[in-house]
Amino acid sequence: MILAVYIDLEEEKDDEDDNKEYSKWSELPDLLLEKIFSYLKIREKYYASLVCRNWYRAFHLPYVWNRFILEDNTLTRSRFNYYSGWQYVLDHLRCQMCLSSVGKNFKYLTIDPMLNFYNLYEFMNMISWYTEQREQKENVELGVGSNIKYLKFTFPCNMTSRDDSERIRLFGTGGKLLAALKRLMGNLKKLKRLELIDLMLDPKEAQYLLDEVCETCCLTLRSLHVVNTTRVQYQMLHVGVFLNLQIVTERISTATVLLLAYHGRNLKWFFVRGNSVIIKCDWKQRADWTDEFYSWVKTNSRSYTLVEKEVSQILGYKWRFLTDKDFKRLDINLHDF
Amino acid sequence: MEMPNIKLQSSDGETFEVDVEIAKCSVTIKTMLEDLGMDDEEEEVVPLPNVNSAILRKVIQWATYHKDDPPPPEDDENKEKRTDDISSWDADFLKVDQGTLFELILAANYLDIKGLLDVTCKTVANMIKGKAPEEIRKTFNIKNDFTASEEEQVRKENEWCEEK
Repeated sequence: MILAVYIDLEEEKDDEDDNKEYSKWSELPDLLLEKIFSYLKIREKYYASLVCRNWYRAFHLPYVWNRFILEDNTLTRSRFNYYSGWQYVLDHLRCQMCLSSVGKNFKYLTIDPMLNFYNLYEFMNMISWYTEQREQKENVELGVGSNIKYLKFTFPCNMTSRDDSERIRLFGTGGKLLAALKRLMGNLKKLKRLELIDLMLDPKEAQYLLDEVCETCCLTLRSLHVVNTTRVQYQMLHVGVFLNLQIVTERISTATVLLLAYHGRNLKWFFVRGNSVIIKCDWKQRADWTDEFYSWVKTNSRSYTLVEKEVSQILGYKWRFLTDKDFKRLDINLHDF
Repeated sequence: MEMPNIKLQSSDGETFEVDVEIAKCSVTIKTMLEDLGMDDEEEEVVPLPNVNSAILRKVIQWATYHKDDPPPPEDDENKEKRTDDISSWDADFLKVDQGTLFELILAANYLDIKGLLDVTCKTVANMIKGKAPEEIRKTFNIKNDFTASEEEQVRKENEWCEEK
């Protein structure tokens, strides 16, 4: 969307300029300038940087680029094509300039549900490419993406088909996009908090989803938030691998709560919203489970109270499901660890 | 039961009597009280040499209105940075001249009042949004101190920010 084009009208520099009284806004301390800049969108930051020398300097302060959100029209150029009209295609040059000038300051990367998979795919691979570069390369800005501590990836699984708005078609990611996401996750060495939402994977692909993250971040990851990872129930055993993991959130059955607790004994925090858990034992006995273990799962998944009792025992502290009210307050609590 | 009051003294010597709990929304004042171990019996005055009386009056007004707000989260950096969520009371409160807004930001920073700092910075961000550089300069009365060639250079340098 082109809203306005900036044309700089070359104003005649008056001699009176020197006598005019100016405000002190240009001299705001860095701490405040970077906070104000952080509220601006990319183009707004740019326009503000052209105001005066001090604001231009503020543009490059790390905090200004702390958070980066990728949306359908981020760093794109519009292009017309005959089957879908005007489209916003990732502009590789813009993206490259952005990453090499401010990319090393990104700490919180949010990838919003995008309809343009090409942009999504290309952007993730560009960050990966930068992080994979080593010292020997010249002309490459090192450190891009190396400070990312938080990644939130939401897949637009819920798309309404055009001919029939009543019918909602659910589909998940996979294949090359998934490969790009895994490559990206594997490259983020400082990841502390990971949120993967609506991936809707096939169980076969889900099995390997967190392999790379396990390898690079088994010590750093502290919070894992996954919603609708697979289309069908699937056991996620990776949880137990992250040694410092403290928080997991997911929408699940009582049997799954038991299994998660069983495999994630290190969990310091294990939040489950009561209303998002169904009383159900949706697991068939697996070859590596003893009869005894399976009957433990079956018996205890019959009620919330039993689950709370068992999980408390496994984790070694009093554990209970969250009420909706608790859950809404959770975001604040998340920061207490 | 009545809450204990403390006295705050502005840079120009005016003294304000304020409920301790309200004054403590300023982390700076809270720390001072704790460090100095001030107790209620002594009639001590907390000097605030960086805040004048007009601004201190505004700050107290803001803090009184917001005294029952939940404490701000420690680290809300992963949240989306919105500027359209300023409450109508705050918006009215900040309908002030630019000089006052400027002083309020500095005071919020010095007194370390996160809520007030957030809302004042958001207000400034909103005044920048949607404007071209020259309009921003006019709005804030800032001098363009670039030379013509510098200006050309910085414009080229970050042209990647421009939407196409």
